[in-house]
Amino acid sequence: MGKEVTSEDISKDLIRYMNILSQNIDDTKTIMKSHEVEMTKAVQSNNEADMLKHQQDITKLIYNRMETEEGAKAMIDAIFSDIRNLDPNWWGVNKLIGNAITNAAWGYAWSSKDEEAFILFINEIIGKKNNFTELATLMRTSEEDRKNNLKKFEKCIDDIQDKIKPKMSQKLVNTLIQKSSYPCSEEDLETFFDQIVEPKTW
Amino acid sequence: MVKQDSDNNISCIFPIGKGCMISFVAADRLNRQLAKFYPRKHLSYVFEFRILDNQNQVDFSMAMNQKEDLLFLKNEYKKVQNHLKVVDWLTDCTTLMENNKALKSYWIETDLNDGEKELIPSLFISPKYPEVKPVDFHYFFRVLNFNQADRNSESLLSDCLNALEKDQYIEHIGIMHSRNKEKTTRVYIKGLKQSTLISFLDKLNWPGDKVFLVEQFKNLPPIDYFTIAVEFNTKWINTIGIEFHFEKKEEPIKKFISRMESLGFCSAQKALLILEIVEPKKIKSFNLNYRRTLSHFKLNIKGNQEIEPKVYIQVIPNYMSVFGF
Repeated sequence: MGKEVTSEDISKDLIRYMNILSQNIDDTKTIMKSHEVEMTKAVQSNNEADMLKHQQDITKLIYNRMETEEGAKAMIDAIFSDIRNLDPNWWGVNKLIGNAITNAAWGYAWSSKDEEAFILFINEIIGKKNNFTELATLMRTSEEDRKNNLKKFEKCIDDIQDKIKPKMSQKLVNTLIQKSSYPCSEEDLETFFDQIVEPKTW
Repeated sequence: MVKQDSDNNISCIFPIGKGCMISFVAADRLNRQLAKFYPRKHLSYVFEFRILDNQNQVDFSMAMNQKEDLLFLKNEYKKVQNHLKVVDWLTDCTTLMENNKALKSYWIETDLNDGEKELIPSLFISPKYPEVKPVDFHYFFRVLNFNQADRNSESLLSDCLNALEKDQYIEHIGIMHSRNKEKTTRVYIKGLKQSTLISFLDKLNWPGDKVFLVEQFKNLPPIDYFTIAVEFNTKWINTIGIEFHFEKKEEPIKKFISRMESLGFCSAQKALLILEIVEPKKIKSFNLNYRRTLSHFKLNIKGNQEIEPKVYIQVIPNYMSVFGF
């Protein structure tokens, strides 16, 4: 067994990698960018095989350039929060590094596009006429209420999604439903919000 | 937005009255200031409290990263303040927010109390990392300065950017416009350690008392991290702010408050009042939910070794009301 990797080691490794990227050491940034460009094309043409290939290339590059496997894994998770969202998720990565430094739990990193869509979604609910809040309340009451109202809740979300651009990704919608439904707690939902909306700090 | 009763906003957030951190007089002033800006669904608020026993003033600032909030603020300044310079400036901020990927959020310190209506608010930008580049900082600096930045202060900003080493960065940059002709530029530096603090300040030729500064780190309870705030106008100024940030744990925060008491900054009674406001609290204001938590403590060190300790409490919206909480 090797030496145990602490969260501080991982955090250092993540910051080290960001530095390698920013200074383009060993052409890391150039290589990464070229894969990103190819991946964008693959996403646009909906070529699943190519998407996975370039994701794999980026993954390999990160594993090669980072010192710890745990650090590489964290970096990859943050970048590929959603393979179809090609806004390379630097906010996610930055947030991950921030969290690693503060030793807090590493949350699932969402993209800035997801954050934008989520805010637009919230704007469509607060102060406007719809039954979202009512359904959300029912969804967390009991397992039975969750089952009985799931279809209506999904439909309500779809209707709101029709009014916004960009839309929330399906992954975000699924997580939103899961976190707001039985048996998740108020704290689970709060934690989810903390992860999706970047705090405006001082 | 629901029409609000501005009389009671502050009492939903903090205990007020005799024997509280907010006196009735201060509450009245804060309520008048907050009336226009609270509650809003995407604005975050920070309240600044003085720790010294004889100081009871409470101020607040707001952070935003939504265009609708900037537009709202612009309209307020248009009709209430008739402050055209600020209106133009908020227009520039809106454009900047739409076009610059390196901008994370704005933070504004309003001075809307009576008799201070002509004051220009102080404005800060929090950049986004790693997107932000030195050229963005210069651009932010010019916008913050009503597009009138002079070459000398731009070169001081460059000095600061050049002095930063790996893992050290500017967390916020702002112009203290409310000081009128005495206005300064303030930069908040994150990522320094006690071991690298002095060498950073040396690179700036910072004129303050470094020995006294270092003393402030003695016997500290475990902190999460610290940031420093340094300022310049035509040259670097000898004041400095040290912000102490804590993980969300009760014990080190309590110890820090006790330490301030033992250093003679405040009485045991005031220390208890501070403990009361740093306690996390859920707040419901009309149809919106917020969370009140400690942001940080700050020691403001002035040139003559005078220390002004402050505590900052943040009130952040969390969208729980949308889900029926």
